[in-house]
Amino acid sequence: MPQALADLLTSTQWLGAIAAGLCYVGAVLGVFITFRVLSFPDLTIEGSFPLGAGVAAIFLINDWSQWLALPIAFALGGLAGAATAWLATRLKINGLLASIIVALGLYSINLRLLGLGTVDRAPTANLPIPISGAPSVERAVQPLFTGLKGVCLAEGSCINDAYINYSAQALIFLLFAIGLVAALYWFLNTELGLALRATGDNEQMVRAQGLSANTLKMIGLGISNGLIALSGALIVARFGYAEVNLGRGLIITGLAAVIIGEVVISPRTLRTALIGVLVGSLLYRMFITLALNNTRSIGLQETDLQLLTACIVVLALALPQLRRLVLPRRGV
Amino acid sequence: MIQLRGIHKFFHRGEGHEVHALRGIDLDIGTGEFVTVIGTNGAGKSTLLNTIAGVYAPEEGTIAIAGRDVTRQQEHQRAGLIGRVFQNPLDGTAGSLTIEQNMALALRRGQRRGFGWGVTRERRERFREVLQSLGLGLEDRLQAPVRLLSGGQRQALTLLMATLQRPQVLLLDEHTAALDPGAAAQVEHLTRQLIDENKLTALMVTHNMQQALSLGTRTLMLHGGQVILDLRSPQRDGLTVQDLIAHFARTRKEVLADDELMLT
Repeated sequence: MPQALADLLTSTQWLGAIAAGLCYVGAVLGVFITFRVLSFPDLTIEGSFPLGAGVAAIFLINDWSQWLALPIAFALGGLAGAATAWLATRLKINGLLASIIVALGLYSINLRLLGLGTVDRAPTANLPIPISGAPSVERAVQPLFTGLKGVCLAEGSCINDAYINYSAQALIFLLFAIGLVAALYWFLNTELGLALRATGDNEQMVRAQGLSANTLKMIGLGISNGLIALSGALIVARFGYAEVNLGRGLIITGLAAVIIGEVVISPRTLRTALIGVLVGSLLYRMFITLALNNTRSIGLQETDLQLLTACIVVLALALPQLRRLVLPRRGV
Repeated sequence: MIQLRGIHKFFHRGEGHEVHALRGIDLDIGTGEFVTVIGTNGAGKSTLLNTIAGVYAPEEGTIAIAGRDVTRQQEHQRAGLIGRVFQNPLDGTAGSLTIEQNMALALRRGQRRGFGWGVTRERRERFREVLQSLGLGLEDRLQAPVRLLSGGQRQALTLLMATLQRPQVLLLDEHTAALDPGAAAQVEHLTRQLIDENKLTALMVTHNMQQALSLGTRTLMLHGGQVILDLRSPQRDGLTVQDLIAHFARTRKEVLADDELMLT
């Protein structure tokens, strides 16, 4: 590891940021689908993300198959997204409002869900996962890295147990992230996927081609929130707890990652746009980790995270306008 | 091919500013007929077309296409029978998708979409061949996003997409009106060519009386939501724009002073 990077964060901190960034790829893909593919600003994410986390927590605490938790989280998240689309298209409630309504309703459902993991089954806001419930996949991958133990990457930054833990975790999440991106790339190139992409672009054309724009929005929001819930389930494995407020502000975080990816990659095709999502998600997490771990130099603390994110998003969104203000006008 | 019986269409019904857009239209369009529709603004031309397409549901009357009653079917449910080209060249295609992706969507018009790959090698070859017949050089730009095309190119592509899977009825809503004269002539030529080659039944709304007479086999004139003129061969043969105006004046007993009717 180059000395400059090692100066900023330890290698375990870097790996932690990467692992978190990879966990969030599903959520960022979800935001990408609604904002960029469907042009449907969807805030269901605030409820569907903790929903997925809650499902995973219940499965881990009860020692049920953690693999089964993932498709169930996807399915329930998908239902939440479809509910938002149904309110918006069939009952003609404003889309943004519909998504806020569903997210609000999910808050109560999530409290109940997390309560299932407690002894008295009373609604609770958070649920720590006991060590015994930690994902066993991670332990299966760890031996891959044990040979590295004791190797020093830079002075004072030697590979230890924590590093091996994080490496194993990051590897699993990387496989997941690549799998999700590849699956979405495939889907968006199928006949159904093309129809979905056309819906965000030109509903008139979609109807003239014999497709129901309403049904397509339901499918699109369903897939988006399914991916978001899946991401929420992975987060439980990363941080070891589920909390009802995990989704708070996540729409902005997701959007920030999408925008960062777009600024870095300047995508022209779907393939590069999806790679941008992956890169944006990683960069955003690294940026946040960097900022929080250099608290003394900048004077920030963990509770300043939201303010920091808000600033990043404003900066990214205002970039075109700022460029115009700073750079002199060319031509007429 | 198309049968309209007693079609009435109202807008803002019971709201004070009610508009009775179609007043009892009875119309039979035979297979292979190419009908041009003219009329002043507000005559009901576009409403007629959109009612056939399923954009509007008529308050009264029935619509049958190819022997099937489609009166209660929504726009997308009857799209398998109908190819459409719109006045706005941006309406017929998805700008962010490539030419071949747009064509892949049109290839399966009215059919169920599944998880099969949208643009297969086989399809790409077919699209390339079809585009070659346009002579616009689009066959070399299959992977270009449609938003990069000019209005004329987009309209030509929309027309091609509407006939890629043979429609029972082709509906053209002033599809050359928003184009510059060169592109309009090109799209008009392509329209004639595609309808002739595929022996399509077509309905074309136009503002241009000359175009209404030079294209097609039958001309309808709408006024106040009713068909006031229905010309076919032999009466239609050799008819000039002046004759058409005279016909109109005679039928309506009023001088046609509406500059919305372009005397070209």
